[in-house]
Amino acid sequence: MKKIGKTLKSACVLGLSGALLVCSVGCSSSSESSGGEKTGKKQLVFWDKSEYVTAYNDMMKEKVDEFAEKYDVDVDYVIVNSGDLEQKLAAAIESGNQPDIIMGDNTSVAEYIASDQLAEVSDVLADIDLKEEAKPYAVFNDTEYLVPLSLTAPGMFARQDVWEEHGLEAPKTWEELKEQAKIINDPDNGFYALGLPLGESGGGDAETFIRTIILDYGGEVVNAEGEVTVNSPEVLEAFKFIASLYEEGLVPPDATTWDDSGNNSAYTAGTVGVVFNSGSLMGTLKDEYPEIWDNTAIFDYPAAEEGGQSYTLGGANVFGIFKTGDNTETAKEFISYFFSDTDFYNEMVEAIGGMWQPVINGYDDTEFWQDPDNAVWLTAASNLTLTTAPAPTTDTAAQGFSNHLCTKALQNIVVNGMDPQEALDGLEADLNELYQ
Amino acid sequence: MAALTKINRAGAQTRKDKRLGLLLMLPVIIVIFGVMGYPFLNAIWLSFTDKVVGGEANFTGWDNYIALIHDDIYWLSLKNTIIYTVGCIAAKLLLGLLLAVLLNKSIKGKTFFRTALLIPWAIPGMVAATTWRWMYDSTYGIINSLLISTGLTTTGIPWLSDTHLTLFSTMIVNVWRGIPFFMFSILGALQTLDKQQFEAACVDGAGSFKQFWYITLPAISSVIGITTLLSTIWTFNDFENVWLITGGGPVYSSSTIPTYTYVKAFTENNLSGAISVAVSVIPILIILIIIYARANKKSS
Amino acid sequence: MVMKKKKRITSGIITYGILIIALIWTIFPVYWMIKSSFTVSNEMYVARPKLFSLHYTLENYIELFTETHFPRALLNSVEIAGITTVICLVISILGSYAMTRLNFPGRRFFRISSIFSYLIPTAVMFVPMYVFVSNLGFYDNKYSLLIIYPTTVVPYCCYMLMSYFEAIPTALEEAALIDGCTRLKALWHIIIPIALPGIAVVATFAFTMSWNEYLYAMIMTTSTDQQTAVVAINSFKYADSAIWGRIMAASVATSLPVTLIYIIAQSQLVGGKSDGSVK
Repeated sequence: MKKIGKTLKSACVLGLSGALLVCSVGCSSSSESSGGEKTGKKQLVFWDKSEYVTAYNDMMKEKVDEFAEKYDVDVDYVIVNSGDLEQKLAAAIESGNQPDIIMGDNTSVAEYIASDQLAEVSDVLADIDLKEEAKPYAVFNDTEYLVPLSLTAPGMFARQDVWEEHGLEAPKTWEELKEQAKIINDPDNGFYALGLPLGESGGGDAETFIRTIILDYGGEVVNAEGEVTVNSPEVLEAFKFIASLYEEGLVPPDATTWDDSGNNSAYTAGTVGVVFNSGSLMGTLKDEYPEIWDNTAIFDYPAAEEGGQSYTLGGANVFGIFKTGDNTETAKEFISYFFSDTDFYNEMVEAIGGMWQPVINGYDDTEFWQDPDNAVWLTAASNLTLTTAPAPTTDTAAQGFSNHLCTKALQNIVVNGMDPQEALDGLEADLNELYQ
Repeated sequence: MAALTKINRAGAQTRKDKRLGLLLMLPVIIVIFGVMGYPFLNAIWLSFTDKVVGGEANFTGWDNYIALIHDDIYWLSLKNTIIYTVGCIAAKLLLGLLLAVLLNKSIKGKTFFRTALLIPWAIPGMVAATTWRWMYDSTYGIINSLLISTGLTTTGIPWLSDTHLTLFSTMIVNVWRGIPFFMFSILGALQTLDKQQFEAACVDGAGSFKQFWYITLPAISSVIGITTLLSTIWTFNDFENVWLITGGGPVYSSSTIPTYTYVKAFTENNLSGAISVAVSVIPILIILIIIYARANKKSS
Repeated sequence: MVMKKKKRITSGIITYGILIIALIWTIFPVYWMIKSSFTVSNEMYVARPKLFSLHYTLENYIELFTETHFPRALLNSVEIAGITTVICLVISILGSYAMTRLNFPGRRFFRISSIFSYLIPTAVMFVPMYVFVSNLGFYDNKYSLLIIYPTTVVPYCCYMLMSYFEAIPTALEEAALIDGCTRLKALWHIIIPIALPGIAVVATFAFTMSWNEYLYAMIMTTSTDQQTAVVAINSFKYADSAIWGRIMAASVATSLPVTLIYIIAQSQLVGGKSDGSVK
């Protein structure tokens, strides 16, 4: 008897509270923002990228706590898995709960410039002694919106033991690489020469590689005036070259679905001879696959022809500050504070072990960066070209990159057997639609 | 039904029942319509706007839907979704039914088999997809490794890269995880059947297949109906499985309505276009529910 | 007679044959997951892997439980799935009773339309839903899931419970009602005890559904102390490297509780209705 009464009562309570909840939405849908102003204490919400090398997140947390203490700010330091960032930010922006600072790849952070979410940061940048090669990563639509944190130059990882076994030298041209690939390729034993991803997901390893070849072959996806110039004989040649690598079986068949970890894992498994990747792979190799690391050489990028121009396309990690958040000024204060301690900054970059290269001047001659293993990356970074080059860095260019349009065109050739010219026409149409 | 009217003969009881009925339903109504209602209506509204993430929503009428008509990928995704749903449901229903019938026999080790065969349903969908993705891999995958070492193929099967296979590969995983749901729903129903009815049929000399077709199947048809309907809707809206295994690729070959929606919303940032994709298939699901409602009415 | 015996043997062979194939098909992926979780990290990526590893290690589990936020996430999952189950059961038992036994306006409509909440893929609903729930004041808060999960769990529970309740003859109740028992008393003293095995089944499923849900949990919880176990698994995937050993260990640890519940409840799960005193 009593029990039933209780059940009924709880049902009523549940029902009522549910009804109240619904009403409260109807009445006060916009009254609740991220809150906190009431207490008077300054607030800061920082969504940081989760890094494989945990030292980064630990050190950043340390800095954040220090800042919170000194400036009497309530800082909410949150580590967000990079795969989830887009969806989480979309939801957060829609509900007005966006963080004040985010850190991520330059192309993904730049997406929020298009929707007018990010604040100008010229004032912050004025106090940071940025390297020349890092400066392009700050500018978008002719305005400084992003604060570079580190460059992430890629390198060509190659199995030196395999190269030596066949008496081969580091290739100077892409064609030469292909000829060597044919020699070392051994699919019957599960070994493929080239670990070239052609999947759409993630940070765009495939898109970066394709655009590198296009530039080397003298083509331009979009020219410096912002005109779509992809439909050219040079790009066609580049496409045919890349497609031939897949068609001739020099790349693992699954590569068309690889995400950004696909090539890394193939290399660490010792099943491919070459991958193009940022230094993150080096960290993994050193930690967990030392025997493969010992047999790895970092080759210089080949060119289209001997002595030709060879581009290294790569990205950067950047901070973006939300102007729509409640604490834009505090966010700027934090970034300035973070960069004011340059020794700490360099210590952090070094702790990540070469996969990040510094964006500020004055640390190139430390013991760490003089080590040949690491110096390679510093050199690569100093020659780094934007992944959207030579197009002006606009939100359209970023969108074109993050929509993986070149990758899709190549997939059409490789997977669907489409004629390269037809695929190129399709790509041109897609780009025109974007740039219209 | 007859019993209900008997009870309700007294008018006072009827009125009381009405009030009590609504009162008891209130929490259900709040949970389903209260919590879902606003976001749902909001979603419908957004599908008629040009909303991008972080942007203003301006009414654009049917533009998003008209764009879908000319969108090849949309139609491909719809076709894939239908293949996926019909194929998976057919496989899950037939295999689930088969296993349920076998496990309803008095055999040794019944408990063991029942328990073991239930396990996939207990594994989170995300974990299942991740594990299968790992097994399908052409290089480190155990499936191709086994196929090659047994000499069935020499190069392995391109589970994730052959555009004719990718959708099928994702379907296998959905079926793997979904069979137990059919199996134990049907097994539960089988066990409630009256044994005497079968004994009578046996005496009459009805063959086991005939017996199954004419007596067993009709008796469990309503459970099969509910199970199939629920699973159809889950399968139709299944996102994680396809997304985590192929990402809808390569070149949209395994793209389904849920994954296409997701790509539109978060890769292309086109929230309104994405929602219009999802909303456009609601009529299909409503038709399914109407069919179910009709069948339900008939059987009761 | 001999014919009949032969026939029985053949049918036995076929039965066991099918069951064993089904068993291998069912268990193999589970085996592979478990095997991978005990594999040392540099043996994870091997071309043409073998069915058995050379070296086994507990390292993945030790790291998972001592160095990550996973234990906390596991507790969060227990909390969220547990509370969701209780809330949903109470709501669904009352609702299902009303929909099967009481005649009230709109009864038919509710019976059919409660499936409404399955209509739109989560992939789309989650942005509007996020906006709605965060307007209620739940921001980066695992308890927001307690509002969302019932929308999918309750309709499911209602469907199952309605079929259990309908299987209980109304005669049992009628007698009690004539004796002056109220509806609620009849529900408590007659329906619930009889349907208890069925309710246990529904509870198991409700728990599983909330335990396994990924998309909403991912979007609604950001801080590590708010994440559920399934979300935590994904946090071991980084931009271009994934700690597979740890992911698989976390997968095993996440699957284990629900699997154990299934194993324990197995006879109930399938026995369900027949064990009740329906007759």
